[in-house]
Formats: sequence, C-alpha cells, structure tokens
Amino acid sequence: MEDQELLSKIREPETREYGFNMLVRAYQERVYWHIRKMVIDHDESDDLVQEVFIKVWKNLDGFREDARLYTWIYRIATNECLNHLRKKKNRFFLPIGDVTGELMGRLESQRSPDASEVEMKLQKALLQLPDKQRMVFNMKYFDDMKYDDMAEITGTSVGALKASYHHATKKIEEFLQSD
Amino acid sequence: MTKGPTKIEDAGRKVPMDAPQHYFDELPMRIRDRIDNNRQPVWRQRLAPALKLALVPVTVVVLLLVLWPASGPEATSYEDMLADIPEEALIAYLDDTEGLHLSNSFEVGSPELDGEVDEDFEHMFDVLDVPEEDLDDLEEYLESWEDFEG
Repeated sequence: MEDQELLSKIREPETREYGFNMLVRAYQERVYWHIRKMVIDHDESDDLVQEVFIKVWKNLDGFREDARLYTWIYRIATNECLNHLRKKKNRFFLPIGDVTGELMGRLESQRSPDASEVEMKLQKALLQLPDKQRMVFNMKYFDDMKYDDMAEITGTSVGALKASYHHATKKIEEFLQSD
Repeated sequence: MTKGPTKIEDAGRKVPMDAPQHYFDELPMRIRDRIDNNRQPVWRQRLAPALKLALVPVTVVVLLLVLWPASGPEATSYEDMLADIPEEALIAYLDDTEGLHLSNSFEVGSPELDGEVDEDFEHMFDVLDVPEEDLDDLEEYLESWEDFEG
C-alpha cells in the first residue's frame, strides 16, 4: 500500500485503525533494524520501536500534507534512538568507553548463529564511532538511503552528511586494517 | 596467518543479529494494545484541559486553608487582644475582681487610697523613731522641692 493510500485511510475515522495497522506493517521492519543497529539489544529495540509507533499514532493529526511519511517516521525513530543512547550514557555518568564495551558485550551475546567473523568485525568497528556518525553510516551503507532523504531525517545538510560518511568510512577501514 | 579485510565492502551488508521468530507478526498487535491501554475515555479527554485549569485555584484555596490557622486570630498576641477591649470594661472588671484591686488602683487613682498612704507614711516614721529636728529638716527639704517644681 502506498503512503498516500495509507494516509487517506488513516484520515477517515471508519478506516483509521485499519490504516494505522497497515502503516505499522509497512514500516515495522525498517524501523526495527534502524534502531537495532544502533542499540544492539533486542529488548531495548523492541521498546523503542513501540514508542516510535505510539508517537506516530499520537501525532498523525499534526502530520503535514507536504511531508513524506517515510522520512517523518524515520526522523521520529532516529530521535528516539539517539535520545535513548544519550540517556544511557548520562544515567550513571558512564564514560563513552563503558557504553561501547556494554554494546560489544550485547553484540556477542545476541550474535546470529550464521553471522560471519567479518560481519562481526564491521559491527565492532562501527561501535567505535560517535552515535550520530554511526547512524549516518548505517543509513548510507546498510539502507542505501539517498543523502537528500538523510538530510530531511537528520536535519543536517547534505554536505555535512557526506563529510560524516567519509570520516566514518576512513575510521572503520583503519580499524579493520589494524585489527 | 590470514589478514583481515581492508575494505568495508568485504564485510557485506548483512547485520549479524536476528529478530526473534514471529516478532513482526505480533508487533502490530502489541503496539495496538499499548495504544488502547493508554487511551482515556472521551469524557476524560474533554475534561482534562478544564481540570488542569481548575487545578491552580484549587491549589491556592487549599494552601490558604492550611496556612490561615497559623497566621489567623489564634496567633494574635494577648496585648493585641486586650487593646481591643474598651478601657471602661477593663476598669469595671478589675473593680469586681478582689485581690487585684490595690495593684491596679495605682493606675486609675483613688482618693481613699491616697489617704491610706498618708497615714501609712506617718506611721512609718513612728516606727523608724526619727528625731523631731530631723523630721523638720526633711519637711523643709520637701517644701523646697515643691517650690522648685512650682
């Protein structure tokens, strides 16, 4: 179902709940993996995914006609995710290294049985990056997202996003070579 | 010894984690449940803004009711309470109260009492057994003071 069709169903009171259910089904996997790649832990991701869709439901009336549903949902998910990671660091005044260590541990414990060493190595390299840079890299590398869409989601200029992706790539390659 | 990959592309685009089985089949229902649990009845949704507005004056009234006894009439000093009573009423009360009569009469004045004091004063000199000449000197001294005060 196209976004416009979903929105028209959501705007009609009789089909509102059905339309929202379709929206969740259409976006749940993308939102889940967008969050999971950042917070690593499944339970935390599950909680955040639900929060994202509850926010979508609550704010559907305020959704502008000229905006795109896809970037709007991703924007909510991105903010939810970055806020969660920031709170996690602030909660116990943990140094960044401790949070990275915790995420590394989660990555190992929740590793897929068919995961390769190379895939794990790349994820460990990614965990060395600052959260926003990691988010930019994930959106470009794994989701193959356009810079224009990324700019709309993150509220950052295309130039800054390209620079961020470039720096992230260099750091990851250095990590992969040194390890 | 094998060397690790030097290019990111060698790692591929697969994420080395899984979602639990049937997770995405159940997720929409769980989201729906959470939305339904958070949903308030329509009358509460409509009343909520009015209740929020009413909260401010209600809080003020409650605070006043709590703080009033501490700063109200009970906290007034006895001096303030006596000041509110008319002087005549106080005198009448004191006149009626035996035992307090003498000490309070000094303030209002009493010809009878003045006479008693004079008698006591003369008697006091008898007891002291002061020589007659000295008494004359004292009388003279007191007269000079009366002249001075004029």
